[in-house]
Amino acid sequence: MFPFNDDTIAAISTPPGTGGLAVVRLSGPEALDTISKLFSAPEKLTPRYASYGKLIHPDLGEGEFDDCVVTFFKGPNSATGEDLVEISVHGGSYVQQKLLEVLLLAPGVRIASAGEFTFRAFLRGRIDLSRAEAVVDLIHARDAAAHKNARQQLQGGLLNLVGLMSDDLIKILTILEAELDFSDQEIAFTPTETHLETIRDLKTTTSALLETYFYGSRLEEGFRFPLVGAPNSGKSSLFNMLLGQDRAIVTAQPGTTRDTIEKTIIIAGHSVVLVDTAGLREAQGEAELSGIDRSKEEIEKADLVILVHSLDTEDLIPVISENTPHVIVYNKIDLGPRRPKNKDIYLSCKTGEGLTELKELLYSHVINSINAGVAGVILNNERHRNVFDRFGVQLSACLLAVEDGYGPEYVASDIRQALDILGEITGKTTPEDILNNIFSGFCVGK
Amino acid sequence: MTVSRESYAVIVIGGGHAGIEAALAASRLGKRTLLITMKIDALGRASCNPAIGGLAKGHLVREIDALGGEMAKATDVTGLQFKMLNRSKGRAVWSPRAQIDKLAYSAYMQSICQAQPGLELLEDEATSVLVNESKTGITGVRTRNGVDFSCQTLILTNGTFLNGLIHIGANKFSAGRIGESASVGLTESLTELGFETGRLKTGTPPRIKRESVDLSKTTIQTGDANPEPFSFSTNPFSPPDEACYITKTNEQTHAIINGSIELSPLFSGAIKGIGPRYCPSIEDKVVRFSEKSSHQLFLEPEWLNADQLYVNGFSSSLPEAVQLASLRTVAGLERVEFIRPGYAVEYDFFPPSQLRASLETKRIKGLFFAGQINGTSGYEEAAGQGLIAGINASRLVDGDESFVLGRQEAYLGVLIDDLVTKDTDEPYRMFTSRAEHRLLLRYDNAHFRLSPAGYSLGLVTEARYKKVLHDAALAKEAEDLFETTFIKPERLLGLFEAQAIIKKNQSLANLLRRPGVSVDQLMPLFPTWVKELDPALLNLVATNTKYQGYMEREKLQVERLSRHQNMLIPEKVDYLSMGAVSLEARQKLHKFRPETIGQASRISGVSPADISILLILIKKLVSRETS
Ligand SMILES: Nc1nc2c(ncn2[C@@H]2O[C@H](COP(=O)(O)OP(=O)(O)OP(=O)(O)O)[C@@H](O)[C@H]2O)c(=O)[nH]1
Ligand SMILES: [Mg+2]
Repeated sequence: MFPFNDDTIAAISTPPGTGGLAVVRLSGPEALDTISKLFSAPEKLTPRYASYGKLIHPDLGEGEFDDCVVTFFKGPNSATGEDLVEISVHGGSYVQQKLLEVLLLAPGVRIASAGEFTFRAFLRGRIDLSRAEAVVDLIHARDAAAHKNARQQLQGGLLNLVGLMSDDLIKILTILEAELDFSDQEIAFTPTETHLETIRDLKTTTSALLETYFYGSRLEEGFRFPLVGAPNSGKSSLFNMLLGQDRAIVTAQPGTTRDTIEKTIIIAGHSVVLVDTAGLREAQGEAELSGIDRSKEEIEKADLVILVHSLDTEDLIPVISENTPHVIVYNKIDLGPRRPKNKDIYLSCKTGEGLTELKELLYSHVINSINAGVAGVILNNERHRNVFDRFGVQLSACLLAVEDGYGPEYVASDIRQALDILGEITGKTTPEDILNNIFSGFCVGK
Repeated sequence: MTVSRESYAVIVIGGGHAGIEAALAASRLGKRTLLITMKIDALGRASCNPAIGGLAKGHLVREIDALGGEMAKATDVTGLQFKMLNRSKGRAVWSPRAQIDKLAYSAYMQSICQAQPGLELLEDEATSVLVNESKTGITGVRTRNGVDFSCQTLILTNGTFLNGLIHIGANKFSAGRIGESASVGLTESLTELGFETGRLKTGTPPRIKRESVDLSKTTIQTGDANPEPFSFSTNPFSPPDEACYITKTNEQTHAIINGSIELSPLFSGAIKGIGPRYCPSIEDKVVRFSEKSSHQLFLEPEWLNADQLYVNGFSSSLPEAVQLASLRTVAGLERVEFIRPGYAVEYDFFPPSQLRASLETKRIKGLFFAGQINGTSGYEEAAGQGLIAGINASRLVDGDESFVLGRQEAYLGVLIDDLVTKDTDEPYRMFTSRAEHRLLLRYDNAHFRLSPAGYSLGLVTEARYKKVLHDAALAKEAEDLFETTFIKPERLLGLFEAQAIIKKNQSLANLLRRPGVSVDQLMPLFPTWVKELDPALLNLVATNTKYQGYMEREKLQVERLSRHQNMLIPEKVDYLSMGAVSLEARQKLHKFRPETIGQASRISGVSPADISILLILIKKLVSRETS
């Protein structure tokens, strides 16, 4: 289950019950280097000392990672027995995911398999021997789960597709290796142009596959549609109406909803998580304050923000950016004739007017997000996405090597590298496999 | 039964390429060594093609040289034609090859062995191995002449001689090589001790009378104009350049072969052993690749001014008459006459899963196997194993840890690691594609890679080691200079195409890294001392610089290889009871009994999950034993 080498692994490891605090861990030889390049105060990173600072990276939003605490533990005096870095940031799963993605961009860092931190801890003698059986069971169970996952993916055709992609590379590698190992024999030379075409096609497929991840992850987790707006604008009322049940408390008192409530509904066959949030305004109390923080976070994670304005409340100062997909609902039209411009839907939760239009709008948003997939395959798993990310980068390296006229041994090295990456899904391609291909495809041997 | 009063530290059985290197290494390491061979005259005889080296094999020869072996020197002295293969490709896969004078080669090896202090030669045949009462350690060897020799270590290098069976058409007879009798009895003595054995097959083409060939109808092939020697010690070097001749089969040839195909023991089922797919017989090629209307044949001289030629590409076990009739359809061979026909030979081998990486058997302490007996093919593969076995036998006598090369250090490391972790179902031959760290294992850096080991083992002289260190320092200095010398664009005028697009000062290294730019083109920019470097060394520097990115990636991968790779597995581990390990892996581990976690991970059918579990169970086991 665990790739058999001493590389650096990263994972989200937020301990339960830490509220809005996210912890991401890095373990392995590259851990310190990786964080030093992101952290605003790398010089402060001394073993066992928590340092406060910012994380800076083009992919991390402005200000999002300003309040970070980074703790470095030098191996072997760490939980895993090797260099370990713990990064604590404020924020929910969105922030964690973002941070993990950035860490995975660093050279030599890969996502940890489940249980891998424990496994390393055990091997380095950081966990008591009496727990050996437990670790074995964990691996065993995880391996079984991985198989199950792989089987499920097979039905979805992922393994098939990866198999076809590997075959394309194996074909190229077979030709290159035959040219290298049997160049003293009559083997027809294959123009590198044909390799280029194959690699370009693979790149196109890879990009298309990566594009399915957005939809795939929504298939897994559901779309997120938070209802956001000024206090008392009718968010909870609309939430209940869309749910078809009275789930959220509705009162005439502004500031009723203090914490977010989520509930899943089905739209066009897809799960959509509706989120009722606290009204956005100057907070009156501490509980409300944290509720408002949560609302802001919801906006960031949203696939579609349902902004609720109403006839009897102030319009909300727009806190959402242009790029965030949103729909503006103007509620309580039963209270008077006023119909300000620039609203998408005019609605009354009381009479139900405008509800159909809103539902149609939500429906088309979901429908428009559907990605048919590549040969029916939709990536829905972060690990797979990570594999294809790296695969795409490696294919570019292959292309460059061919285009620059590098010798077959270098191109072969790049192709092997690419195959090894795909091998994380399909299993390894061995030199023996390539030799078998050569012997069955070419008449070699004097 | 007479008992020799003499006791040897090392006894080597067999005087082929493996046996010679083993005996020389052991005696050079100061061990009293006896080499027993059926015919001293046949020492170092090349039983198949008259050539040493070739793709991947050339690397092996270089490595043997770097570790103080003899094969490279013998080739340089007795070579008839030298050629660097893969010259159109990058240097990582260049590989030297030489046609040799077989007679001179064998004579050279005889004289070296005879002159080697501490090495005794004896004409006899080993018929059984002698072991201690508990059958766990070697004590000696019994010979056909009825003598028991005692020894501390025994190295078996019996080649194709163990129960050798030659096939020519339906005709079969016991022999090790044509004209030399097979070795009978030894296999049985080993199977009695519990060794597993198998059968392999190999073949050789006909030898023809040179005067019966119309060479004017063939294409002449000569060697390199500026040949490079195999050995680091060879200097000066001005070998002959004897020609080979190329001709090819045609549809008529194939028709005759097809018409008699059932007469080939390969197709009639008479041959049970498995032959190598990379060295198929002509009948195999004609049948399996029926769409090819022609196959190349190389007529190679077997020695200087030889009256006989070797028909490379026409290995066959068809009846002699069919071989002759089909060859006579080939241009230049219309009136060809045989000195002897091609034949196939079947022989016993011992699946090398029974060996440690030191080449000592797991079953019997002090007993080593090297060469074709381990299911390999090729002179170079045999010689390499012989060298390692000789070194390790000697170290065992001294009580030293065995000498094991990693896959990232040498082709020799790849070779032996493959042998002990993979199932052999055909004779094993080295290919560059087997070496995952191929870009680091170049023929031109073999001495930098391995001379330190050769020197500390005691097989490489101080003088030669110093020369290697000196060269390495020069190379480093030149590499640094390339990185730190910046060239103005105007100085590039006329040096290479596309120089016009370079607008900024560039380091020599970066210029060299540009596609299509070679070290020769940049020569005018180098200081005199670099220009005057030995061309081989300068090219090595250029390769290191140009492909630095690839090298670094490889080095990084090597570094990342788990430290658990070298974690030892206790010998008595009971794999079959490891329920959490997959069934297939349990069985494979039980069969191979890997010495290290690294070896275990390379056994097919053992998954990373199995290794994770194995690591834990072994750690637990070891701690229980030590506590
Ligand atoms: N007349 C009328 N009243 C409405 C309508 N929708 C909601 N209301 C009333 O508006 C008040 C506030 O409604 P809520 O749904 O609790 O509003 P909210 O946005 O969730 O408010 P907070 O949770 O306090 O931020 C309640 O008294 C509702 O009955 C509507 O369409 N028409
Ligand atoms: Mg509310």
